[in-house]
Amino acid sequence: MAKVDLSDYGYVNARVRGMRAHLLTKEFFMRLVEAENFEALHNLFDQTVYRREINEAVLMNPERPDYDQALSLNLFSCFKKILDSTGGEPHRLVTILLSRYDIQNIKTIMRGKRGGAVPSEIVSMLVPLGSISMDILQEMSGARELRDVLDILAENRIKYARPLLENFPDFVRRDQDLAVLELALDKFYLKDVIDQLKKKDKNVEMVRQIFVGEIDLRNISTIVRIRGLKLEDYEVMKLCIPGGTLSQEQFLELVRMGDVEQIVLAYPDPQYRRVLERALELYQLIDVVAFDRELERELIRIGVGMSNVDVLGIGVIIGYMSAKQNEIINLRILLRGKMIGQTPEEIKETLFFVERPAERAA
Amino acid sequence: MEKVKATRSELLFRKQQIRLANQGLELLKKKRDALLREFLPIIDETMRLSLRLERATADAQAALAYTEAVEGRMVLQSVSLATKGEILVDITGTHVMGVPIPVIRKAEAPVKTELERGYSITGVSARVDQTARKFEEIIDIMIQSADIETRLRRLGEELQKTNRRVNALENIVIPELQEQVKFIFNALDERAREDHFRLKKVKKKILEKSHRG
Repeated sequence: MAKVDLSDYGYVNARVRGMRAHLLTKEFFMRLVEAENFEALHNLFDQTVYRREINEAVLMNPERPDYDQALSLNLFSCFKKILDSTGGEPHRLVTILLSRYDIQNIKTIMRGKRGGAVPSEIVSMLVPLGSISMDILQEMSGARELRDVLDILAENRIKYARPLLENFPDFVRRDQDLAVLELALDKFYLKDVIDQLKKKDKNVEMVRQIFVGEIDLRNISTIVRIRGLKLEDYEVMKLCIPGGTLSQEQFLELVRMGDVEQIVLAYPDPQYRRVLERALELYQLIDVVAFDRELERELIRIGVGMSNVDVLGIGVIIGYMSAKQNEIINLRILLRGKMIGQTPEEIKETLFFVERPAERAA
Repeated sequence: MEKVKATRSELLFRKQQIRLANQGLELLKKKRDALLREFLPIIDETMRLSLRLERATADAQAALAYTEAVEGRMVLQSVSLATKGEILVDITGTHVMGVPIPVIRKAEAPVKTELERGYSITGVSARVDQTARKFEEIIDIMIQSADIETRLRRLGEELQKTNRRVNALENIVIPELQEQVKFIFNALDERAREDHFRLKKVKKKILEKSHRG
């Protein structure tokens, strides 16, 4: 049997291109939106890669199938397939891209412990992706207290233990406010990711671009959400995640402006300013959510756009992952819309749709 | 009708009872009017709050459905664990027209700021925050509703009780007393007539006797 070299992008990208071919086209998506009932919807799903998971969900609970879980399972299996098809540098970069799920899992366990959830409940919310094994995650979920969770992380030499243990006394001092630990974890995670992406390489640069975009998104979202709060300068600066295009001083300056319109006009990066201007138009209608929405769409757009940069680079993977996430979000919106009896027009209005470059060209 | 002694003292007693009942009736009517004056604005307020609650709930449910769709249920469930907490309310008491009424007030604002929800703002989208705020607003309205509805229920019960008393006095007690007075009065009248007739007869017999003698 011929050995496949997983350390370059040839093999994995061929597989990803195959998977990309299964992404739903806009036309097909619109047929799903227009489906008259769930039977018609299921028939349409039978023609997609979601067939198995949707059918299982229907079989498990014909009255109220768990579509959310079905779609999540499909997403996880796709991402896992990509990770398993890589080796060497591509594997390192895909692992970095999926490391967000480690953070999500750690936060879920911490929140579960803080909120008094039983281990089985916590395990049901964990994502089987990321670099922390399910065994360790289950052990953490079964820990007696939050402090034990952090100790398990440390015992297993998982780097995220460090910021959590360092900030644990502060967490206790602040009446066990989990936000202290979560903020420390977010900052450490994103700094660590950016530190891992310092190599001068076009693939590393693309992954870096995605994470810088995410940091910017989080920082802008924080700015518009905390602008009205009475906070000291040091408290504001603490909420700024370093590594993005905004410096801490610029972050503080924007928060101090207070007015959303002023923040948008004064935003230093012209590319983001354009996105924020679009968000501003929606601001009156859906409040600060408009900024998250437009920035997320922009991030997906950037990710999807990377598909065509280099056929033998990480861009193909990033593009697929972004498009797949976008598709899952839209399918969830669609299914929920159908469940609550929205009309196709109402569903279309709420869709998060970001067109793929090929479709736009068409 | 209960058995009444047809005596003059009983008649006086019953007449006094009627006077007292009328005074009571007057007072109860005044109390009823005062309660109604308190009650009607509370109905308006309750209706207003109930409409607000209905709208806020629909709004929050829609936001939750959309947020769940965009973020995924796992993320939302995870965030919800961080926000678990207690809502403190102060319960004191007051009196309206002598009716004891509990006063329910928020001990702390249920609508929290973005930094008070137990999770880090940097790791959770504005969408989740907005949904959380909408549900906190529901709690806020629910506390106001609990206060105003308890007030409404207590006043309503008192109003009903007062109404029953007014009706009882007006339709049963006072007419019955009046009946009794009438009965005693008739009985006494009858007795006076009989006495008068008897006296006349005696007088006639005495006169006859004296004529014969």
